Amino acid sequence: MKLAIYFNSPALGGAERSMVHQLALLPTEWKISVFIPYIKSIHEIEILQSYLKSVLKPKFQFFEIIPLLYPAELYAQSRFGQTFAAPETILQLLEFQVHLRNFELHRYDLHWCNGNKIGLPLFLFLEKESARVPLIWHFRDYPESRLPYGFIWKLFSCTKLPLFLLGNSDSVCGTLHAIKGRGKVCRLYNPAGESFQFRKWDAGKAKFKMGLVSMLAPWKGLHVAMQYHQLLAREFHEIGLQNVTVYGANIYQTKGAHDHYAGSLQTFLKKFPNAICHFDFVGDAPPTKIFSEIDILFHPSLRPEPFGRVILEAFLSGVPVISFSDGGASELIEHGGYKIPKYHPMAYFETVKDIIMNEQNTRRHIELAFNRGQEINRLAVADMQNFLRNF
Amino acid sequence: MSNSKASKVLVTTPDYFPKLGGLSSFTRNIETTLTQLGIPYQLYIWQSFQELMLNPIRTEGYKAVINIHFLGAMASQTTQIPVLTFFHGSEILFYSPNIFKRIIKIIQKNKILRKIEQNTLNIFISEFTLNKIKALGLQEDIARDLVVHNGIDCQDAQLISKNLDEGPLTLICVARDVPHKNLEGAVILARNLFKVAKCPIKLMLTADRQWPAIEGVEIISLRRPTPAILKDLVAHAHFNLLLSLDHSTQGYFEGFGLSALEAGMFGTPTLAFPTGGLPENIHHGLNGYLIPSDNLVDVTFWYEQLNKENYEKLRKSTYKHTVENHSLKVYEKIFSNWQDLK
Repeated sequence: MKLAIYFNSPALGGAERSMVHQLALLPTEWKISVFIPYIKSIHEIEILQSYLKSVLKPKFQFFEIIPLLYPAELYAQSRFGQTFAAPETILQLLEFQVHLRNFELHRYDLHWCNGNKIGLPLFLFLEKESARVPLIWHFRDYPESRLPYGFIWKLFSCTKLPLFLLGNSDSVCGTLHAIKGRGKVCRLYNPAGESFQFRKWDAGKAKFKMGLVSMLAPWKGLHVAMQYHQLLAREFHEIGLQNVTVYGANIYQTKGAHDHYAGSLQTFLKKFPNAICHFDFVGDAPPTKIFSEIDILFHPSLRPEPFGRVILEAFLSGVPVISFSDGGASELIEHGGYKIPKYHPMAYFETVKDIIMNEQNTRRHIELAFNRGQEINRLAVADMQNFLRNF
Repeated sequence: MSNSKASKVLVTTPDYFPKLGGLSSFTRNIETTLTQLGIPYQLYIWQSFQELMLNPIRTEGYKAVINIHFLGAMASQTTQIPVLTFFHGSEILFYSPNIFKRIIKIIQKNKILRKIEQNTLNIFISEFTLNKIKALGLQEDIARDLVVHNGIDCQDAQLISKNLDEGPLTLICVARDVPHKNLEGAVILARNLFKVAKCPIKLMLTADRQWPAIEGVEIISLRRPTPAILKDLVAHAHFNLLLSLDHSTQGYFEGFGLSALEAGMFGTPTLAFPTGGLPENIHHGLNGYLIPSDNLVDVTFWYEQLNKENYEKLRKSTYKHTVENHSLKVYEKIFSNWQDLK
C-alpha cells in the first residue's frame, strides 16, 4: 500500500503531533510519503521534519518527506474566510493545482490529508483528475459552513471519489454526518503518543504554578485566564498561586483575529497591573517538559474544542485540568477534569482553591483523569484498527 | 492618559431612581461599588440622545468616565480621559422601530463603532452581546473589550425555604409586556406544566392585561407592584421564568437576563430559553433549566428530574452560584485593579 499523507502546516502543532502518532499505528509494510507544505515565511519546517523522522523512519521500511510549495497568501488566510474571494487567493489556488500535477499523485493507493487547508485544494485536484483512489479527509476542527467550504461540502453529495471523513471525537463526527454526502464518517481518537512522566500530587507545596498551553489565538481564551488572575491576584496569592506560565506561540503564522494577540495580551496586563501575579511567556516547549513544570493546567478555550490534546497529555502526567470546554474536549474533561462555566472568575478561583486545599478530592480527580487518558490511548488504537478493517 | 490631579470619576446614565429598570439598578450597583472603594464620583443623568447632542457631556477635570449606556460615550467631549463603557444588549443593534431614527442609526453606525473602539475599556455583559457588535463591524481588541457577566447587590440575599409539596407550583415572570419577552410563552408553559405536574399552577406576570381562563392555572397580573412586593414574590416563587425570544432583527434580544440573578439570590431557579445571553447565565441543572425554544409542549424532560430532594438541591446550588459568582465583587475587582483609577 502506497500512502500519501498531506500535512496542513509546516509547523509542529497539536494536530501534526497527533497525525505523526496516528501514522505510527499503521502497518509497517506500508510505503509512506509525507507531503509537507513549504511556506517561505515559516522556518519551523525543520522541527516537524526531524520529529517525523524520529518517530516514523525507524518504523517503516519506506518513508520519505516531500515538500509542497504552498502559496504563502493562500496559506495565510487562516480559515480562508471573507478574503477567499480575493482574485489573488483564487489565482494562488489555481497555481497550487498546477503545482500538484508535478507529483504524479495517481501513483498512490490512498491519500490522507490532515486538515482543511490542504484538504480543500487536494479534493479539488483529485476531483478534476477524476481520480478513483480513496481520499481520507481528517478533520482537525469542526467543519466550517461559510464559503468556500459550504460549497465543497455540497460536492461531497455528487463526488465519485471514495471519501472517508475522520473526526477526532464523537462530537466532531456528529457534525460530519451532516456534510458527509457520499462519504463515510469514522472516529479516530488522537493517541498521546509520547510517554509522559506521571507526577504524584504534592499538596504540601508552598507555591503552585498554573500553566496555559495553547497557540496564541483569541478563541483559546488566554486573555480571559489573565483577566481572572489579574483581578483576583490577592486571592490567588493567599492560596499560594502567583505564577502563571503561558506556553505557546502563533505557530501557524496565519492572518486573522490572532494576528496581534500576543501584543494585546501585554497591553491588557499594563491596564491591570499588579505586583503579586507573574505571567511568563515562554513560547513553545515539548509537552513532557511543560507537564513536568506546571502544577495545574487551565484550558480556557472559548469555543468548543474538537479534541483538546493538551488535556489528554495533562491527564497522563497527573496534572489536574480546569476547562470551559464543550465539544470533543468534554469527552475528556467530564471524566476527571474540572469543568467550569465561561466568564465566572469566582468559580475558577474556587476550583483552583479546591484543587490546592482538598488533597483527597484532587487525588481522586487525578486518578480518574489518568484512567481516562489511558482509555483514550487504547481507544485511539482500537479506532485505527476499526478504521483499517472497514477501509 | 488619566488626569492625575483630578480625583472624581464621572458616571453617566440615562436611568436613575425613582425611575425603575435594569439600567437604573445597574447605576445604583456601580455607585455602591465606587462608594465602597472610596472613589469619589459625580453622576450625570441624561434623558435622551437629542439632549446629549445639544449639550455634550463635559468631561474635563475628571479622572475617568464610566458610561452606563454607550450613548453617553458618544456625546462625551473627551479624547484624553480614560473611558469605560458598559454594553448590555439590544442597544447595540442600531435599530429603531421609527424608520427615520433607524436610518440615522444606520448612517451613523460606522462612526459610532469607531468611537467605541477609542474607549479605554468596553465591558460587555455577555459574550453574545460582544459577538453581536463584532458581527456589526466592531474590531475586537482583547485588551479593551472584556466580557463581564452582571453582578447584583447581594446584601439581602437569603436562601428562602420553600417546598414543592406545599400549595400550587408558583411561577413568576418579571418582564415588560413586549413581544420579545414572550409572556404568551409563559402562559403556554404553565398550561402544559399543569398537564404533566397534575397540580395547580400559579403564574404571576408583570403585565397589565387580562388572560383567558386556563384549566388548572391561576394567572395573576401584577399591576405596578412596588419593588419590595416584587422582591418578596420572586423570593417565594418556585421558579422564575425568562422565556425571551431572539428578536435581533426587530431590535431586541436578551443580553444576559438580570432577573435570573434577582431570583437566584433567594434560591429561586429560572426556566429559560437558550436565546441571547441567557445560556451564559442559566446553567442547566445548576441554577435552573434551559428549555428548547421550539418546544414548550414537552416540559417533562426537566420536570421529571424534579422531586422534593432534587428541587432542594437545585435551590441551594442556585443560591450559592448567584451569591458566589454574581455579587458586586466583580465590579469592585475591576475598579480597584484598573490602572487608570489607581
